[in-house]
Amino acid sequence: MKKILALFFVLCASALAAQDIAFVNDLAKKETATFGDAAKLFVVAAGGQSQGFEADAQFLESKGIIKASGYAEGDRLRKGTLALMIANHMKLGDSLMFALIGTRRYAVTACVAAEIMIPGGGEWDILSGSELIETIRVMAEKSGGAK
Amino acid sequence: MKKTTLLMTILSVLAFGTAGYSAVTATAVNGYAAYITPGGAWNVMYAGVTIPEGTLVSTGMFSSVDFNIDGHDMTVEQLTTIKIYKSLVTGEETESSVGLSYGSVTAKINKIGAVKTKFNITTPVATSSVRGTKERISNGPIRGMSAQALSGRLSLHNSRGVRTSVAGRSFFSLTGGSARPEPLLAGERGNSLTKVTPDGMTSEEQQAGQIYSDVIGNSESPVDIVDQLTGGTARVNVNLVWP
Repeated sequence: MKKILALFFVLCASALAAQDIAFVNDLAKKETATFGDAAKLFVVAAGGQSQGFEADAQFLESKGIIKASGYAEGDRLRKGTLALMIANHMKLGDSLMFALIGTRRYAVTACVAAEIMIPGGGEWDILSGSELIETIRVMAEKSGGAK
Repeated sequence: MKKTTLLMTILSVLAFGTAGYSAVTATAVNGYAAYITPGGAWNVMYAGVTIPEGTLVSTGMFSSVDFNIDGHDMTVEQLTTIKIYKSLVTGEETESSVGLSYGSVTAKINKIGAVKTKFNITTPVATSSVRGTKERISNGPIRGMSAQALSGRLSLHNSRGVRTSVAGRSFFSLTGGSARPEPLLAGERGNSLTKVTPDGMTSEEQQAGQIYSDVIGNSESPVDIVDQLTGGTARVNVNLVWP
């Protein structure tokens, strides 16, 4: 019985992993990423497991990453919003202006200073799915996550 | 006629060796990864899984997969998707071609006796080819393709006339919208031996000048004082490290 249960859990975990991979691959093809996409990826980056947008939003708020209640799942993802999530998650308080003011504009500056984003563009830029994946990957590498 | 054709075929195979598909095997999986064969569905990747040509491999966050490809080692890093385009082996030659859709891979290409090795990693921007070296290649829509030879020398080229090689501390970076890559030593900018401020002083000399400005005449800088003490000559050892 124990073996059957263990096999069942392994199969469930495998199915979830395959679903996550399929999500990332679909995301890479999207011309415009949404706040919901960023939330789903960010929950995993912050050590959680995505359980739907509402739960993900609550998780991100509880971690102080972003006040997710101010966003809808389908909102187009802006560079400034992603930068704010990254700056809060990585505690990029070394950037004086971000530490003082904490706006999206200075979050972008802080992310550029931390070499997570590259110079150019502004906080209102709309990100594609593959751009979101690349930025999250660089953040994960900078924060010491396994390559 | 049929006998002649059969004989020709047998002779050709004997002459050129038996070309065949070689194994691409996952040797370790950290975290979670999945693969999809042509026309199939996503399957979870485990250590020991052997995949055919045309297979797409994708890794999740904080995950990686180690592969053995014809005796070479390749690590597919987190949030990366690759495609195995070609993996052929004969007795005298191995040829492997991997498409990097996005993400990063590290490959260690081993010299296997007298076997001629072709190992290409291709992105939409350029192709890297290596032998007897270790490389890390990344690709993405923002930073484009970047390549670094962790050991040995790495050749890079594309259809728009870019043809270069990197080794040591040189670093290849090319975005999709650019015709030419960044200067190979762009990353070394600012890494000077010492920063010199006006009056030919280092920052330490400038600090000393501010502290002892009462002692030192206004017209003299610390460099002038040192010049007087040593007779205007000094021995400087410079260690130049070229990439």
